[in-house]
Amino acid sequence: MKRFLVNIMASTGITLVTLASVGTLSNARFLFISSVFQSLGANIMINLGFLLTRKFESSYAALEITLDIGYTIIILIIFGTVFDWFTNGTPLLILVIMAVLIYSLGLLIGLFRMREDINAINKLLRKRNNKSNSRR
Amino acid sequence: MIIKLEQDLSRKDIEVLIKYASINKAVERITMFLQSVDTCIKCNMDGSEKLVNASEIYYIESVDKRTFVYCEKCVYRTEHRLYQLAEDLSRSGFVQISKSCVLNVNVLDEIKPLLNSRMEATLINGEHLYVTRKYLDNIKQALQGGL
Repeated sequence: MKRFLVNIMASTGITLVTLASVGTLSNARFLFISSVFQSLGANIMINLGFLLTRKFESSYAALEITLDIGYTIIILIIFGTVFDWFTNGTPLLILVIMAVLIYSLGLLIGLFRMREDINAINKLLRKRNNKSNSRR
Repeated sequence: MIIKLEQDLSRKDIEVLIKYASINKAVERITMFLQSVDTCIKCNMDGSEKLVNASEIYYIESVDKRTFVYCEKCVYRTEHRLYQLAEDLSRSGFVQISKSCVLNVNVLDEIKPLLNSRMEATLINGEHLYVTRKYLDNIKQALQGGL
């Protein structure tokens, strides 16, 4: 649960920074407060969906990533339609590029986390092996 | 911890007596380990049935809805389901490492990351198995409990 909440907050943070960067590039000057909450809502839905997509396991990692990105884009299209993102100046293509960018950043953070977990496991294994060797 | 071994030729079975002041994690772990020594899985090989001790099992894999038990040198088939074995053997140091594989952490030597965001577990006999990311916590917890 803790990790789930951290993931939502982290992806919302990355979304807002990406949104602000894209806005700056297109000479925008501010973000609406409603955009912040809409981003949070979209990220909650995306992370909830990931709980389901992660149940699908394939020997091809690319297939899993495509499923995740596909689901993310569907949610963004739904949110964009409901909250008029497309008529308010955010083209679908920009939204898709942002989604891929945010997902890639999330994936990268996940890989760092995975490496930390692997290091911790290998440390525990070495500790166990040393203990059993010293008993002999 | 004091370990005393006593030979008694009149005994037919092994008796283990644990003396403790209060039940703590160490006592629980010793009890769990002793219970796992007696845990056996009914397996088949070449039409004959055999009871395989949990401590002899390296990993259990499900292939096309069939469950296979891998030991150091032999491979057996069992009628048990993978999820059922994962649950029954969890107290003996077995953890799920992917959707189709349950590993005995006592034979785990090392874990290496792969390029495709997956991992590879190396066993003490040099065999390699794929590990899915979402099961990493299971391995960590099993090792922390067993130290």
